[in-house]
Order: sequence, then structure tokens, then C-alpha cells
Amino acid sequence: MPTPTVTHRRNTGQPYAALASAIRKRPQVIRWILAGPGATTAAILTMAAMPAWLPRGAAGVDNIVYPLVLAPLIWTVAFLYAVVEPNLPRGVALIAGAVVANGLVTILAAGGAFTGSVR
Amino acid sequence: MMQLSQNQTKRLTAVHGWGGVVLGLLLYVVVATGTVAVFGQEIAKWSAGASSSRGIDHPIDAIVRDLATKLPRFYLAETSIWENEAGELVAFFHSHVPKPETGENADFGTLFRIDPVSAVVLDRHEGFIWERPDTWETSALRHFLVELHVRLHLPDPWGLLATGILALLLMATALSGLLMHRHLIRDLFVAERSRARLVSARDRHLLASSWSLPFAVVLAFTGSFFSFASTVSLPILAQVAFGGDREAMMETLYEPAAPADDRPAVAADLDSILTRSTEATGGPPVFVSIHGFGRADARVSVWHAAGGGRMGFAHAVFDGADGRFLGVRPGIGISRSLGSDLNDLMWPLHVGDFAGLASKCLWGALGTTICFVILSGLRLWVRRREIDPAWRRFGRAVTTVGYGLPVALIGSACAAFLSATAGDPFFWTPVGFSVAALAGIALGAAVPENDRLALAFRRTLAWSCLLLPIVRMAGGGRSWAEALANGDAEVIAIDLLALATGGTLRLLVRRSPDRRDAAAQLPEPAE
Repeated sequence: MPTPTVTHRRNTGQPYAALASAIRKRPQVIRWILAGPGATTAAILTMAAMPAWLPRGAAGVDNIVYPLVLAPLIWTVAFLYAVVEPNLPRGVALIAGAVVANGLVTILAAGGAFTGSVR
Repeated sequence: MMQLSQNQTKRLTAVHGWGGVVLGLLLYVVVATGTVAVFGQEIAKWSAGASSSRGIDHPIDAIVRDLATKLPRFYLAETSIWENEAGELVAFFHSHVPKPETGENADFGTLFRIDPVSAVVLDRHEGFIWERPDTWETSALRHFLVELHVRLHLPDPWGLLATGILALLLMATALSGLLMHRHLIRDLFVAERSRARLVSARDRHLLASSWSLPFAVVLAFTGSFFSFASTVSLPILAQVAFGGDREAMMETLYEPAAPADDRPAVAADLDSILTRSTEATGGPPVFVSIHGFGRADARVSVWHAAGGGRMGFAHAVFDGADGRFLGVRPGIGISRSLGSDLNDLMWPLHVGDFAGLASKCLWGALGTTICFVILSGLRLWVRRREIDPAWRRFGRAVTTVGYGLPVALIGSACAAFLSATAGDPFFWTPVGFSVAALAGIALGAAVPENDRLALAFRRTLAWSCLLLPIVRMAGGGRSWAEALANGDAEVIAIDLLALATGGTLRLLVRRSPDRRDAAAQLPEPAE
């Protein structure tokens, strides 16, 4: 008989376990999506969000120049990570998290939420 | 090196191999043309019969002032001045006008080509000048090569996006190769094992890729930066950081405009500005830009080539009315920072133009090594699957493109030379390339056996290289005696390089076992 604590854990973890199981059922398709559109979207949004939190530097342009210059490297890191990550659900969670977090910052920045710090 | 599981290695091998198979031949075209384009300035001198150092080394103030007085004030909003490889001074007086087709602002004005010694105007063109390269570009061959490398001759922005994706592919294949490498240091000194066709080919691929790996990463990184900066990154950053106001972003990134003052003022002496600018920066002045010529708020920007301990361009700014020196600016931003230094490094690292001909030769050699890595990698992939007829056909496609591209480039050079005096080289150069490329494709389709095909291509390439200097001179190009008299060693050096390449290929063809008995060679087992 399972203890009440174990049952409680199983209930809260169920959606995530189901999602992880669904991801593990189609590893090839999911990895393709993760390394292709996933890594590209994460890289673009990370670049777009960077002016909101990067310091502007002595010339007042570093927050624009760093994302501009580093964009290809960000994509490369995201792409290679998506290829080599052995735990696919963790990879999906991390890249999806980067997309959501940077997407939110990008939307807020484009809406003028960080006007003082960005410009 | 990083410890990888079997599955991780398998996935990285798939990325490394299939990435190369799907886009490797296009990547080879971009890298090979980029390797040639590193010597763009030398090729322009060689192909256009020119003899200038490209630095503005004549007094220009009187010439520019005289031309400016004859033009309506509208055209004096912006003035660009440079010296082309033919030693002519080029002055483009222009303003920004919406293009009828797109509605977007573009440079519209009058471009003069002037003999800087006699001050005689050689040529004059009006309109949206940048769309007509024949009005400002010295060498049709150089223009064709650079466009092929930068845009694959596709329209904007698709060309830049395509080459950007290819640069990312280079980065992904290079880094996946690095991660898969178990013995990177040992592979730097791997010796070729003879008598084992596949192992020997693999050794050569490993050796070349191990040595060129850092360069491949630098090239891919800087190349993708140039492709994506204007097409993807800057529009997104303008939207996020400046609410879509690109003008505000440009003012932040580059020189902010001086407070508007459109009162007429006597323009400062350009020759004095150039002298002081050279003293302040070190390198020779190669480009001058004047905002608001003859106005009280005029600004003069002078760009200098690498020199004085700098790797990249230097940008000096002067007040255009009283000639005051306002300072040396980085390529981006109004004062130096880590970001602007990083940005300034991108161009010299991509083109190798930071230590004269020596750095260009190093970049050329490393670029050639990457071409070899791409082709040898594709050949390895095919050899492991030789049993399948489809892969054998792909192997012939690799041979056709590998040898066909240099043959087609020589075809474009021949067309440029032969049309230089009697035709329009800007029209005939791409035609020459296409004709030679189609002939190469026809040869690839006609010869069914790969070794015989490679042999036929080597012969063709050898004779093409040997004939190139003769065609150049037949098309009115300068003789070696004239080039020597003008101090243009580039002309002789490129001719000699073509002759040496042709001679070496002839020697290889003569010694090739395929020549003696191409048909007798049997396919070898893959592993």
C-alpha cells in the first residue's frame, strides 16, 4: 500500500510525468523541433531581451552591440545543447523556459516597460 | 575532451555528416569565393589594369569644392569621397530620396569620377547610384566574386539570410567535429597511412580540420554576424530598445547629428583635415564622408585603413565649417567600450585585412584548407556508402562542384578580360561564369566514373589556369613589364600563382595512377 505522502507526490507530479513520457515517446521528432525551431526561437528571443538587462557601458551602446555580435554564438550554444542533452524532457523544459522568460522580457521591453534602462 | 555517450556521439555525427551533405556544396561555394575575395583589392588591380593603393594620396580640396559649387544644394546633404583601384578620385554628392518602387529612402545624387592629377572629370552619373555598380566599381570580376560570396547573387534579404545560415552550418559542423574529436592534440600531428584508401582520406580530413578549426569558428562567427546583423538582429533590437525608431538607434550607435544649422558657411579645407586625420590615426585615409557640405553644421568623417597598431578601420571626425578636430571614434558608439572594440574586430577577423598582404595570405591559406576539409568530408561520407548508386552520383556531384567552381570562376575572369575593351564586363562576367559552370555540369553528367571525371576536371583546370594570364593580356591587360614599371607586383604575383597552380595540376595529372588505368580501379571496402 502506498503511503499518503507518496500518493500526494504522484498526483502533483502527474502532468509533468505525462508530459515527460509523451516527450520520451517521440524522441526524434522532439529533438528535431528542439534543435531547429526551438533553438532558433530561443536564440532570437534571448538576443532581443538582452538590451533590457545588459549594462550600456562607457559608450552607451554595449547593450545593443553585445546581442548584435553574440547572436550567432547564442544560437550555436542552444543548438548544440539541444543535440547533446541526454535528458530530453529537461532539454525541452530549459529551452521552453528560455523562450518564455526572454519572450516576456522582449514583449515588456518593446512595450516601453524598460524605456529608461534600454535607451 | 568532453566525454560523450554513444548516443550523443551518434547525434553529433549525424549533425556533422548530414549538415555537410545537405548544404556542404553551397558552403564550399561561399567559403571558396570568400577565400578568393580576401584578395579583392589585388584582384581589382590585376583585372582592371589599375595601379592605385586606394588611399587618398592627392590633394582633393580644390576638386571637391569646384564640383560642389556647380551642384544644387539638395545634392550636398551627403558627400562620399574615395579613390578607386584605377587611381581615380570618386565623389558622390547625394541626398536621401524615396525609391519609386519601394518607397524606402535611398541615396540619390551625382557621382563623378575624376583624374586626381589633372582634375578632369572622366565620367558623371546621376540617380540611385548604388544600384548601378558599373558607375562606381572598378573591377567587374571583383564585384561578381564578392556578390557571390556575400549574397550568392540572390536578392536582399534572401541572399544574406542564405549565407548567414551557411555560416551557422559551418559553426555547427566545426564545433560538432570538435566535440566528437577524442584526440585533438594527437590529430594535429597525425601522419597519413598509405595503402588504405579510406583511412588515408580520413587522416587527411582530420589533419586539415584540426589545424583549421579555430579559423573555421572565427570565420563562421564573423560571417554569420555580417549576414544577420542588418537583416535580423538590428531590426529586432530597434523594435525592442528604440520602439522601432531606427533613426534613433543609428544616432545612438553612430555619430549623433550636430544641432541643425543650415546657414551657409565656407567649408573647411579637406587637405588640411586629411593631413591631421592621418597624423591622429596612423593608417592611410580611404574614405571621406561629409554631412551638410557648405553648411554651418557640417561634419567631416575620415576613415583610415589598419595602421598605427590598429587592426581595423579608424574613424576621425572634424567640424566641417571650422575644421576643428572632434576626435577619433570607434566603429560604433561615440567613445570606446568593450562592445565597440568587439564590433571593430569583426571586419578584420573576417577578411584578414589587418597586417597587409601577410595576414591576407594566411587567411587565404586557411580558407583553402577549409575548402579541402568540406570536400574531403563529403568524399569520406560518400566512400563509406559507395555501394549505393545514389551516393555514387552524389560523389560525382561533389567532384563536379569541387573542380567546377574554380573552372567557372576562371571562366568569369576570362569573360571579364575579353569584354573589358569591347563590351560590358558587368554583363559578361556572370555570363562567363554561367557558361563555364554549365560546361562543368555537362562534363559531370557525361563521365560516369568518378576517378575519370576528377582526372578530366584536373586537366581542364590545369589548362584554364595556364591560359588565364594569356587571356588577361589578350584582353588588353598590362604586360609584366608595364606592371613592374608601375610597381604593381600583384599583377605578376597572381599571374605566377595561376601558372604555378596550372603547372602543379599538370604534374599531378601526369603522375596520377588514374590516368594510366582509371578503369582498372575497383571500389574498395568502406571499413
